[in-house]
Order: sequence, then structure tokens, then C-alpha cells
Amino acid sequence: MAFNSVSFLLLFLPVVLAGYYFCARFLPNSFRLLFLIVVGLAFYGRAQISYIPLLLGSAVFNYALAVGIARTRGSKRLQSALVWIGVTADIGLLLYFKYYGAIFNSLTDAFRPGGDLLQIVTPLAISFYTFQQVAFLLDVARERTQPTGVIRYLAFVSFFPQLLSGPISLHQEIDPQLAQKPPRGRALENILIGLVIFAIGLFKKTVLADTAALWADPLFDGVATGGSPGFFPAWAGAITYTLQLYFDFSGYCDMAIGVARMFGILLPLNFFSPFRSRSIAELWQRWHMTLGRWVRVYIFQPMAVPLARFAAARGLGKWGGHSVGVLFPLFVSMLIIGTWHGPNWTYVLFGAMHGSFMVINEIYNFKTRKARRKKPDTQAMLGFYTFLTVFAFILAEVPFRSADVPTALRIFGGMIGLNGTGFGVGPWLTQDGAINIAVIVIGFLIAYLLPNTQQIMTRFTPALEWEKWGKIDPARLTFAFRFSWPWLFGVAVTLWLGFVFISRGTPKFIYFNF
Amino acid sequence: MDAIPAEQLLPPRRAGVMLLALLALAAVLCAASVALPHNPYIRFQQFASGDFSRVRWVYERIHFDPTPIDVAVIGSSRTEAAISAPKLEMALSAQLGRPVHVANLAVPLEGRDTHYVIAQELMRAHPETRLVLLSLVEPIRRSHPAFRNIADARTVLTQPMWLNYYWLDNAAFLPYRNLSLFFQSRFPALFGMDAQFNAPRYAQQGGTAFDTTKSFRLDNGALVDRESLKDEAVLDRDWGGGARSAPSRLAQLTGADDNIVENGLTAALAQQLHARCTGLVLVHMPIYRADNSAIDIATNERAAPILLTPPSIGDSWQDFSDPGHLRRSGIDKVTDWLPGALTPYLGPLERKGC
Repeated sequence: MAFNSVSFLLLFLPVVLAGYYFCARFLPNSFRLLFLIVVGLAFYGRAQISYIPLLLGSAVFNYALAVGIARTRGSKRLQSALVWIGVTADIGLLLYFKYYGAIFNSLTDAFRPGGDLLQIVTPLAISFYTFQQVAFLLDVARERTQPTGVIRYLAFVSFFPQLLSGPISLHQEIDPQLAQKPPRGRALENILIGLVIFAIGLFKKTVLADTAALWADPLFDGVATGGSPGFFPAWAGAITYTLQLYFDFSGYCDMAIGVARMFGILLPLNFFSPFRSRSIAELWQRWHMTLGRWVRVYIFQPMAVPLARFAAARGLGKWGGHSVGVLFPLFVSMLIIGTWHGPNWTYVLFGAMHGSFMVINEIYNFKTRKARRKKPDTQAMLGFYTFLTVFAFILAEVPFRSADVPTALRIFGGMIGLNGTGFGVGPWLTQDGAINIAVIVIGFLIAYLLPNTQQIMTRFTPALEWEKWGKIDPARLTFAFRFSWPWLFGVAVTLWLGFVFISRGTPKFIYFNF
Repeated sequence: MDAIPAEQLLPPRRAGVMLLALLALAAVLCAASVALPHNPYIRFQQFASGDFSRVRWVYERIHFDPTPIDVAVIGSSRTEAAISAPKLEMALSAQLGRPVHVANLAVPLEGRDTHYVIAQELMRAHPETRLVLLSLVEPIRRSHPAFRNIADARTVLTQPMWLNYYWLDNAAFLPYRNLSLFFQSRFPALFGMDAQFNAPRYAQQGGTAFDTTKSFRLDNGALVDRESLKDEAVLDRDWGGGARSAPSRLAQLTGADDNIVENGLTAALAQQLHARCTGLVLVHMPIYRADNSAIDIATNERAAPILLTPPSIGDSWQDFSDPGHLRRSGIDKVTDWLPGALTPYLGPLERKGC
């Protein structure tokens, strides 16, 4: 079930909210959590009922291991063994469902053309709940959290606002909130605040992202079937798709945060105006923030620390040490982020491009850090950094959206002018072309000038760690929601448009594919 | 880890009032969108291409073509492919000794709700219609995909809700649709729409004499061939076990009539047509290797007389272009059989009791 579906909005959400607050008010606490588990599974099952046992099995298995890990704190070796068993099983399951079929079929195709191919349906959300649970096992081992009961754990894993596409929240972030009964008298306030956040997210998805898709999809689909776009259509397609992805994912994150808030739960931020970043490294701290955090904490750091020690032990010098201890793990981390999206060379290319951008950025920082400390960058320079960051991001979105690498290469070919300007064949300088340009301009103006959803909701602690994020990068135009009738009217119009445009767009979010 | 601040921001009563006001305002805006006026001709132009682009011709035949419609065929692609309106028109005219105008207004895919909409349009514009031939099919429990696009808002909203798995989606589509139609009606050129009857386009699509049984090409260029003989093995492969559909889980649980929506619409149509002295006959077109056992004869017979094709039609694989549709030899058999079968319903010109 998707947040931007009629049945979710008009049936599921109201019924579940009523049931939740009924349980919270009149029944013992465990019933409220059991209720959350049941509705989480129903939410999941509506999309893919056959993999509910896998979700439950995975959660119970990880919880049992976590109990073992917590009880073996005296024996580091046994504890490490349990962590390894858990992480290997989780990642093994993920690799099997997400990559085994593709690898097997590629090999079959290469060595035994015409042979039987494997058809493995990837369980929905497996990468999200797997990452969440790997983090749980490691955090239990590091004593950052502890098992607090299987019901609470199942409620955490199956908490439906974050189940399908994140944010990849940590057990220690959500579990204490789930454990507490929602305070009496705050239900309507939380529902109202959550609904405002949700309405903005819905608007972003159905009005902005799905509008951009009207121009991006035909270009990418046309090239996938053999077309070669000219210079302008190729750039317009790449930029418009980037905006589509921006508002699609931003909208999803807002909706997830909004729905969770309706239940009195704060989720971590997952998207924070990334196009206002001044480097690709900063962008990745503001785009899919919880995935970036996961990779940084559970992949980059465990890889970088021993490599840095290794480099120091071998006396590799300043640049050698930096290359081995920082640049290499950075590149590999980005490659993993890319490959995480699916078994397709386009995602590997996406990851490799971002890895390269990050490495270049890090080298630039490493070389100029001292000089820039003495003489800070001018506003023009900072603006140029932002432009360069978004430019690099747009380039990497080409393989991300393309059906295959040849498609991506044809679009890149168009972007460097190999196929002419495209004026003769595309809808350029026509009504369609003009609207596309308007969509791009409006999209970027919104991304640059307006406050993001959390900044609009800054008075109401819209996400976890808002104390920290609330002070970062205020928008060029600032305004903040308050409980007043003019604001309420504005939100009602936003909700109305968001709801109305559900019927035009696609029910799927782009990140549901991952 | 921080959580929601402990201090209450809004008293519960005020929060409730604001929440209700927000939802009510959004609902009022949705209702206002549904109430926006539009040009119904543009409503029937929403499918510029594809299977349902036929609905535009249907609307034009009903509302802009001055040729009367004495016999209207309404149904799915099975009736569309099987009944040649020009040939039936000739045969009936010859048989009855007076001109009888036939229009095949069927559109692809099943869905009684769309048949209902087309019948409403017909009744609105053609009081002279003597007989409606409505397709009778195996229970399918499906809202026609074009229904929510072509039906007026009242028809969508007043569809029965009980066991109607499509009601909510269809109703929720209306605010967007009517908002869009409003702008399309105001600025038709911007959206490539015709605000006035486009006679040349209608003529190009076949005009009054449009024969729905002819071969045609799909948007992707594939030929839907109603002439050539098909391979029996291909028909067997595509057959897929026939047209039966299991009752829904909700119907099984409640013991309710699973086809309550379809049957209700058929009965309502029968009543409305009867009230204006137009006859209604339910006609079933054969499916490859299927008998008639899946059809709910008893219920449908209460609404209108049923015509089942004789066994000679569709008894051979050579009569089919695919498992659901007849090819030329089958079409010819229908053309030979149907005029005689319809005569009792078209007999005297004077309408009894009208």
C-alpha cells in the first residue's frame, strides 16, 4: 500500500489511527504494540502478502540473536561469533533475493545461452529492514541499545510509516518512543501536525514529482527503445528526472515522517534540502540521510579505521595514508550505496560516479583546507560549489534512471552534443518544451528559495535531532507554520491538490524499487 | 534521543476543531472540483488512442450523427467483433421491409457500468431507438476502465457501493477528472481537444457506416486480424481455461450475490428502457471451447429476454480469431442468425402501451 493511494488515505489511515488511540486509551500497552504489528503486516501484505513470513522470520531471528549478543557481553569471542552469524545471514538473505537471480542469469546467459533463467521475486523493503536489523545487532554488540522484548522489536521493524522505503531508523531512536503510551490529550495535536507534514509531502509527490515525470519518462523510455536524444532534450530529460526524483523522495520522506507523527512518533530526518549543499559530501549528508548514516557508521568507519592504521603502520605518508585510509573506503562506500539500489550495471555506474565525485571533493578539501581556512570562500565561490554539486548529481542520475548502460551512454552522448541540438526532432520551442522549461525553473526555485518541510514545521519538532538540524542552512525565504486559520486554509489547499493529483500520477514511489 | 516535547501546544478541543476544519475544507474543495462544469464531448475524448478511443466515435454517433438508431448494440469487444452493424442493418431492413438503422456502440473490455453510461447517452439523444442489444457475459465483477472517464459525476457517485470494489477509486478520481475537464473545456486547443463536433475526423473513423467487425491495427502496430484463419494450436494455447471467475472472498464470507453491481445495472437499464418503450435483449457471444454454463441465466432472464447463440456458431475453432473473439466465418454466422432472432422484438411498428 502506498501513502499516495486513495485506499490508504480514506480507509487505512483513519481506521488505524482510531484503532491505535483506542488501544492506547483503553487497553494494556502490549495491545497497542500488537495492534501496530498487525496493521504493519497488513500494510506490507497489501503489496506483497507472500513475504510476510520472511519479514517476521527475519525479525524473530535477529531478535533472538540480539538477546544472545546482549547475554554474552562477558565473552567477546562468542559475542563476535553471534554478530557475524546474524550479519552474514541478513546480508546473505539480501544478496540472495536481490542479486543471486541476476548474477545467475547473467552467467547462464554468458555460458549457456538459452538455458533456464531464475525468477526470484525480490521481497518488498528487504533492503530497508535488513539494514535496520544489521544496525540493531551491531548496536547491541556496541551497547548502544539492547533488546527490550520481542513485541516491541516486532513493532519497531514492522512500524509501517518507515517499513517500505525508510527512513532507516535505529532501534535506539524508535524503541523508546514506541514503548511509551502516547500522552493523553496530545493525539489530535499530533494528528494535526502529522497531517500538515503529510499534506506537504503528498503535494510534492503528486503535483511536483509526477508533473516532472510527464517530461522525464518519455525521454528515458524513448532512448531505452533505441532513440538518440539531441543536446537540449538530453539535458532537459536529465534535469527533469533529477527534479522528479528530488520531489518524489522528498515527498515520500515527508509523508513517512507525517504519518509517524500522527502516532506520536518522531522519525529521523532523511532529506534536508540537498540541492543547497556546497559539496557532494554535504549533499550525501542531506539526501537519503539515514542510508548515508548507515553506510558511514557500519561500512565506511569499520573499513577506514583499520585501513588508516595499516597505512600508518606501513608509513605510507600523508597522501598515501589519506588514499588508503579515506579515499579508498569512501569510493567503496559509494559503490555499495549504488549497488544497494539493485543488480544493474547502471547502479554500479551511479555508485562509481558518486564515488569519484566524493574522492575528487575529498582531494580538493585535503589540498585546500588550510588555504580556505585563512581566506574563506566568497559568496560567488560558494554559489559555484552548489552549482557544481548539483551538476555532478544530475550527471549521476542519468545511469540511475536509465534502463541499461547503453541507454545511459546514448543520453550522455546527447548531452555532449553527439546527436545535434535536438531542435528538429524534439518538442523543443513548442508548447511542451516551454512547459518543460517552466517545470525545471519552478522546481529549482522551490528547492533553493523555499524552506523545506521540516523548516516550515520548525515550531513543532518535526523530526529527531531537530535541535541540531533546525539551525542549519535557513532558506532564502523563511516562513513557519503556526496554528492559525490562514495557515490552515493554505494546508487545506495543499492537501486538496495533493489528493486530487493522486489520480493523475503513478501510485509508486521511485524508492519502492529498492 | 529526543522525542516530542512534553509541553502541550494546543488544547485538545482546539486541535480537534482545527483538524476537522482542515479536513472539511479539503473535502469542500474536492466537492467544488467535482461540481465544475465541462463539455461532455471533451469527456469522451480523453482516450486519444488505444482500446477506448472508440468511445469518442460512440459519442459522436449518438449525439452528432443525425442518422437514427433503431437498434443499438452495446457491449464489449466480443459483441463489437461479432456483430456487423451495416450487415445487420441490411438484413433487418430486407426482412422487415422498412429501413432499420443499426449502430454497434460496443467498446473493448467488459464492464456493465460503461454499458450503462452508453445506454444513458443513447436514451438521452435517441427516443426513436426500438431495441437495445446488450451483451451478456460471464460474471466478471469489474468496473470498466473507461467508466470513470466517460460517466458523469452523478452516475459515478450513485453506483451501488455494496460489494463494488471500484466505487471508492472511481469516486476519488472525480475531483481530478472534473478539474482537468474544466480546464480542457475552457482551453480546448491547448489540450488538443475539439469543443465542437469534428465531422471530418468522424468520417475518417468510418462515420455512420463504421463496421466494428473489420480488422484493425493497435497503437503498437499489431494487426487484429478478423479475416485470416488462425492456428488451432495457438487458440488452444491462448484459451487459458475459459471465462469463469471465482467468487470474491467478501462474497464468500457474506454469502452475498457477488454480481450484485452488474445485475443491478442490468435490471436498472431494463426498467429505464421499458419505461420509454425501448426493448432490451441480452445477447451472448461464444467463447472458444466454452459452454454457457458460467452465465447466470436465471438472474439475467428476470431483467430481459436472453439470446444465446446457437451451437453452430463458435462450434469450430475456425470461427475464432482469438479465444474471445469471432473471425469472419463466425461473424457471418452471427449475421445470418441474428436478424431472424431479433424479428420478434422488432415486429409491429406500434409500440404496445406506448
